[in-house]
Amino acid sequence: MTNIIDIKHLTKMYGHSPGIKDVNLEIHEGEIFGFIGPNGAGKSTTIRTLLGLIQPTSGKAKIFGKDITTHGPEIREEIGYLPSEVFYYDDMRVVDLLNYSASFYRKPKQAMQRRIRELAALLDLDLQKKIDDLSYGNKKKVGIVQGLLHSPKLIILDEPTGGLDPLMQQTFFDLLREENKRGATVLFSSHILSEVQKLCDRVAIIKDGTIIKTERMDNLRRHSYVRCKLRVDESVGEHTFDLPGVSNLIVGRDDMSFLYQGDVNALMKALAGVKLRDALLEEPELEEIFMQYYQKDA
Amino acid sequence: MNIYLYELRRLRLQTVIWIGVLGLASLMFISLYPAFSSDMTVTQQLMQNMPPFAREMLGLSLSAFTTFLGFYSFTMIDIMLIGAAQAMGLGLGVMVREQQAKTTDFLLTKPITRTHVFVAKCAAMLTAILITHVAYCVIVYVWVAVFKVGEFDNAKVMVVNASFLALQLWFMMLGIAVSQLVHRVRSVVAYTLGAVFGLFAVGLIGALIGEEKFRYVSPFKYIDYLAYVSEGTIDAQYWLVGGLMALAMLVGGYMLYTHRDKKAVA
Repeated sequence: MTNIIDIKHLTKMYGHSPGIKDVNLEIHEGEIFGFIGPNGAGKSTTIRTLLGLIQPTSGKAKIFGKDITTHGPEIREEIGYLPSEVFYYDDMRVVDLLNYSASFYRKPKQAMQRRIRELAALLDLDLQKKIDDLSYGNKKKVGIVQGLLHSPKLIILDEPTGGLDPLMQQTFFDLLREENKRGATVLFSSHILSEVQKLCDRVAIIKDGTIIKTERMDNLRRHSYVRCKLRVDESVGEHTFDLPGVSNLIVGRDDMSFLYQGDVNALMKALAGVKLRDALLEEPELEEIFMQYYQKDA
Repeated sequence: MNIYLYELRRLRLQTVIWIGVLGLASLMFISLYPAFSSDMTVTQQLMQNMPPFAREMLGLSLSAFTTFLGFYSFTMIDIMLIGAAQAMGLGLGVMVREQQAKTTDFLLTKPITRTHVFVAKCAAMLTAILITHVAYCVIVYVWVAVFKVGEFDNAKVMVVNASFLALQLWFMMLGIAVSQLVHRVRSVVAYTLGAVFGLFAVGLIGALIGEEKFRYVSPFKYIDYLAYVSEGTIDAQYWLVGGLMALAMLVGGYMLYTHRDKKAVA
């Protein structure tokens, strides 16, 4: 499997504070890769280092097999980037800004202009409006178009859906899936875990500048946790489920819930010994899994 | 070429405005020359009434008004102030455009090197300054013909004009250097006026106290117009030091622009 992005021991120090520390990541060609962590975890630092906006303190990274510090322009020819905050030259019209953006790429002009029109129609973006007159959501649409107009091989998204209404978010995700089917690799950074859950094949969790887990999405759910919601008799005490692997135990008057990680047979044995009125075992939300990794690591 | 053309388009209107300001300023002065030169008695009285330190600071002498070259050199004080403001505003404003518009990510994530961006912006600034300079020179010759100033040494007037161009280039480099040294430029006008008038004041103070070393610091004093008009001499060492300073500012600005981390916009 070809690695589109290959990061080895990448570190960025700000004085004595690490922005990112010893980050190792491989992102395979054609996958949609999620990069999750709370604010300040190091997601943007990693992305900005890959794009050449920040110089790494140590370590190496390659995109398309080329070193990011020596082949920046070649690499960026095939990258589409949508930052979390979008700003453009306010006195330009949308179409002028997009044409200006297109002028940097060595791709057929007509194809890019056709793509601009297609994407603008899909996202309901008025090309004749001035940037200054656009709402934040519409500026975000401009960002999506300018990131995709040159049909890039790698799409890097840093918290991309802020400002988009739910319908437009869905359109955007469909667009990303289309691009992915076309062969593009997607690096999707977000703290909105439901989005990552919907879209991504694999995910890396970053905390305090360090990757704490890289896993396939289905494995993350399958091998990680089971959320148990039980309706019990009053006689069941909270120590009944004092099993290793139980966490987030919440005991109500006649119900209890907890997360369980471990051998499901041991859980079944514990459940069998209890008089239950109702039981629900389900995959937890990614948010719950994520918080577990954070709390565990803390 | 796209960055160069984009920046040039953005500079169109302000270049026209600056040419207009310089044209009007030169009109104001050159139109007065026939009146000054026709009645030297009045001019002499004016000069005598002026305090000696003021004459020293402004580089004034009676001979400045007896020839067009002398008079024109005297008027360069104001022309240079205007030109310096334009040039420094260009150097600073063009380089911090992305910082102020928060479009650094938009530009620097494109498949171009930072060197390419820097060179394109400098080329656009230089083009604007050269266009201004050529237009200014043409306008001056138009006023000279209109107001019939008489015979003058054309070559020396061109040297005076060339000193104006050199001053503008110096301030353009200063603007580039300041754009990279100051963390966040909130007002281009404030820095421009501060630097231009500050360096002008340094030159005035140096002339007042008779300290030649101040001339190295203030590009307004690189040429002693009085000496040039009367003796045809130019002190090359000030130009050499000024040239080295300009080069250092340009190279320093380039190194900072190409190597500095670009932080995310909040």
